[in-house]
Amino acid sequence: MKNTLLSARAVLMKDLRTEWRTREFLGHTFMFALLVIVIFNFAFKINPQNAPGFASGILWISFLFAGTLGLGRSFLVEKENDCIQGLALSPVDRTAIFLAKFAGNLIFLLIIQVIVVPAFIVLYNVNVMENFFMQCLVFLLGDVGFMTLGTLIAAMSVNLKAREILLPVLLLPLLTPLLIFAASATASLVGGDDPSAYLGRIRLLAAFDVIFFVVSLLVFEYIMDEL
Amino acid sequence: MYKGRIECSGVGKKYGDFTALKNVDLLIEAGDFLVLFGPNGAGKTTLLKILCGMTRPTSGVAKVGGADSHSPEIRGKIGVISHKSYLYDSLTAFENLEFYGQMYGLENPRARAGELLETVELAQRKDDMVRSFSRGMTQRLSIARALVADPDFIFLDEPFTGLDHHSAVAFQALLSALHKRGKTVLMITHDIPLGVAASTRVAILKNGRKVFDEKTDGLGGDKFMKTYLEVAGK
Repeated sequence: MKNTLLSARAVLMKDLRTEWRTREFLGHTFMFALLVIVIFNFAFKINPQNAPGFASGILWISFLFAGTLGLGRSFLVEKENDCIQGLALSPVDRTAIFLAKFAGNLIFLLIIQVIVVPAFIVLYNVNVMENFFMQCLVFLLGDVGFMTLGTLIAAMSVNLKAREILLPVLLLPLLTPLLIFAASATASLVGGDDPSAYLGRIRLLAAFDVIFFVVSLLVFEYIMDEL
Repeated sequence: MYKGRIECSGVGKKYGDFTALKNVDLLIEAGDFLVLFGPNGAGKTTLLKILCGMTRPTSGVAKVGGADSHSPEIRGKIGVISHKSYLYDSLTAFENLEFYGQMYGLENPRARAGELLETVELAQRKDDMVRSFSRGMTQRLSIARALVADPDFIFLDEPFTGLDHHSAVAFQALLSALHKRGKTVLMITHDIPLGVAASTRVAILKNGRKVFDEKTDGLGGDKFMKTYLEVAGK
């Protein structure tokens, strides 16, 4: 277990170092997420009555688009010079590679959120973070489920010619229940609903995360075999 | 002596309806330098992928060092050099070797990276990004990457691709030095003179089957070329 975590840390640090030097992921996805919330700002007339629904929908759509863009790149860096084979040849537990890619994708999405959410609050004048800790928990649980499943599907699609199309086509249907619970929990928190309205959804989000995570860990080794 | 031995028994591999390998038997003794020749699509790379655990055979057994070729512990004893470098362009030479050292669980990957950079004469370029390297330098660094865990087995897939003659000869000298240190080497190449000169044994694969396997002693490059054309050219 210790070796797995050390190897995962090595892959993660390598990915962060590469991203820091190229800034390919953050630059593109941040602009994309920001563009989504700016365009919606012109398209919708948000007032205190419809704010919870709109705010939640716009935020989660921007996270979804930006996150999916980033997922596509997470394994693509390993295609350069066939480095994915170099990783596959090393004696590390394959789950270390999954954990590192998952952690990297999660960190990048969290960075996007740290920038996009304040921008959203300023642009729309809707404080989505009024219930700060619960909203952070919803974002985190939604992100974990999204990135767990996304990392798995990104690995499966990395060798496909039409991967840019196939990644969202494969991912979005599987992600729909999680996104519904995440968006509705965010809406309830923005609307100041009774805790009973969102606590159940938060529990479901946690359940999805556990299921996705365990299944992904079990399946990833077989996916690596085919890369 | 199983430690350095490679054994294939009835190995076959199918991709859907396509049969890449059929019933291949191969025994490479410890310290052998076997060069595998064959026309494109003969199944050479598939066999190498099976032996280094990158894919599983659909039939038969492949053992490296007495263990199943797919087992993680044996992966740590194999160094693979391909025409693809497996190196990250956005990392420096040192960072690449340090990273692979960490992946192989070395206690001091930084020291090993420094030592290997000296071995392949790239110490002065250790802080340069791999993207700035020539093909020959990249291939030397690729050797260092493959040697990071001091493997017992070295597998090479078309290592001379893209190298000029001078770099190819220098590369061959490095390989010979490794072989003299007791490594078991399996190489795939289309370069018959270089391959025969380096080898202790040669084999030919054709249409997924082994059709020739002999010691190199007394088998000159020209003689083997004729044999190759007769066997593989049919």
